[in-house]
Order: sequence, then structure tokens, then C-alpha cells
Amino acid sequence: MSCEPEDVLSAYADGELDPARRARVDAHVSGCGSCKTTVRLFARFKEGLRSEAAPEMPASLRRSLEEMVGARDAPTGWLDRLASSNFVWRRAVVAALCACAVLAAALWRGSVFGDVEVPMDLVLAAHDRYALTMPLASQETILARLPVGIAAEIGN
Amino acid sequence: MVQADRARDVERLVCDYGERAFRFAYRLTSNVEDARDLVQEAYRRVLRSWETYDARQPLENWFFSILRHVFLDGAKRYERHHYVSLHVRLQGDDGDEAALEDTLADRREALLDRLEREEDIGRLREALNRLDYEFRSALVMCDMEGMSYEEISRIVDAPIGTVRSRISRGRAALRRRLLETEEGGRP
Repeated sequence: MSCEPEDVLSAYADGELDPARRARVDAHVSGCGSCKTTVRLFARFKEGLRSEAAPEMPASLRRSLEEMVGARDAPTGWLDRLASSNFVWRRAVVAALCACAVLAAALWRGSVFGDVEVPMDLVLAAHDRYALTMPLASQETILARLPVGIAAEIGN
Repeated sequence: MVQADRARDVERLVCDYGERAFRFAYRLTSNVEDARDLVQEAYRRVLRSWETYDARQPLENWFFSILRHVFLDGAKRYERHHYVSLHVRLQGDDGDEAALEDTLADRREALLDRLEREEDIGRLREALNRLDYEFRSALVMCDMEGMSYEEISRIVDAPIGTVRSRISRGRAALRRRLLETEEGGRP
């Protein structure tokens, strides 16, 4: 029986032959010292190379890649920034927005400014300004400073 | 939705593939600094050509295909570290293979014995570093990264038969180099 081509023996060592071909090579290799040596040698190459340890990725490289990917995907608008920001940010901003909404409702009823009627667009403009400039501020701070902001909007 | 998927894919590039990309690059170059440069350049190219990525294809294949191309493109620089001549072409690594096999057939047994006793594992790595880049990357993907022929075929964008041939010829070249250096002949 003639020997198998080397690319077939190589694929056999990799377990990449279909079952029928594999069975034929099995039968040949079991009786052919030369082909058996080739298969064992190739399998040993594979094991030897596989056993080589690779160092872990340097932390500086990971940071560099994160920055690179972050820069590529950096959102441009404040809504995008809000959507892509971390959980603490989102929670703080949402809390501030809720506080503003409650306050706006209160203002609408005149409970803060008494008889002064404040148009809703001014309330919203003040809210936007605070959402952008002090998104991590506490609810108390926003409640305390919002009337000043609204006064500024009226002044504008 | 599509934007969200894309953003998730970009994030996966570092989270899921960063470590593996570095390991792959290290195994190709055998040098931490070169591996670092290779990975950074691959990420730059990936991000530059992000819009050309077809989301129906596995991100992994596309990414590793680019990484491999960066390695092949940068061959000249790696040559400086590994003393491999750019003039060595694919056929140069398996030329005269049959004649060599005839004369050294009985020495394969001795080589196998030493490899099985793990005496020549270091020389195995050195021999790999001296292979043609196509052969080296094929053996790194198959033997070191454990990729199937089909996976490699997708990454190198070549038929499985070509992959099988490159791996086989790479192993033959590896064997030849080990036998040559064993003889104290040409490295």
C-alpha cells in the first residue's frame, strides 16, 4: 500500500479528515512505520507549541485600547452622554430630573412663588441648565437653587 | 437598535478579544513589545474601517483577520528581531524537502524522541520564528490557538485546501529546520 501524502497525515494529526478518509489513514498508519513517525512528530509539534505560555496583556495596553475604543465611540450630545454614562451618573441625573419635575408642578400651583406665575418653558430651561451643570447635585441643592435659576431665566 | 449593537461590538473588542489578541500577537512575534505594537495597530485599523464591518459575519473572524494582516504587513519590522529574510518565499521553506527526507528519514525518530522528552521544545519555538510568515501564522492559529481549519479559512479568506496545505508545509519546514540545526548546519 502506498504511503499517504503528507498534507493528509498532517490533517489526520489535526483530526480534520472526514470519517471515511480517517478510517483509511488509520488502517495505513497502523502498518507503516514512516507515516506513523510523521503523524507522531506533527502531533508532538502541536503539543509542544500549544504548551508555550504567553504573558498576560500588560495593563497599560488594556488602558490604551479602552481609551482608543472609548474615543471612537464617544457620544457627542448630552443625551448620548447620559445614555452611555455609568449607573451612578444616570441615577443622579434621573433623581435630579424627578426633583425638578416635582418642583415644576409645585411652581405651577404657585406654592413657591406665591402669586407669581412662571411659564413652563422657563422652568424647563432652568431644569435643563441644572441637569447639565450639576447632574450629581443632591435633590436638596437643586431645590434650594432652582428658584435662583428660574429668576435668571426670567431676567434673560 | 443597530447603533446599540454596534456599540456593544466595539466594547467586546477589548473586553472579549483584548487578551486573546495580545496572546495571538505574542505568539506570532514572540516579543512583548512587538505584540503590543501589533495589537494597537490592529485596533486602530479595526476602528478606522469599522463602517466596512458586515455585522452578519462573526466579529471575531473579522478582527483576527485584520490582526493577521497587520502582522504580515509589518513583516519587515519583525524581520529585524528574528533574522528572517523577506526573500524567503513560501516555496523556499519546503524546497528540497523530499531529498532531505530521504537522507534524514532515520533521524526523525531521534528528533521525535527528544521532543517527547521535551528536550527540544525551546528549539521548536526558535524554528517556528524562522518560518515564512504565512506558514508561521498558519501554525500559530492551528497549533497554538487551537483553531479549526474552517475557522482559519475564514480568517485568511482562503479555501480549506489552501489552509491544509499551508499547515502541512509549515510543519514540514519546521521539521527540516529542526533537523538542519540538529546537524549543526544552516539555521
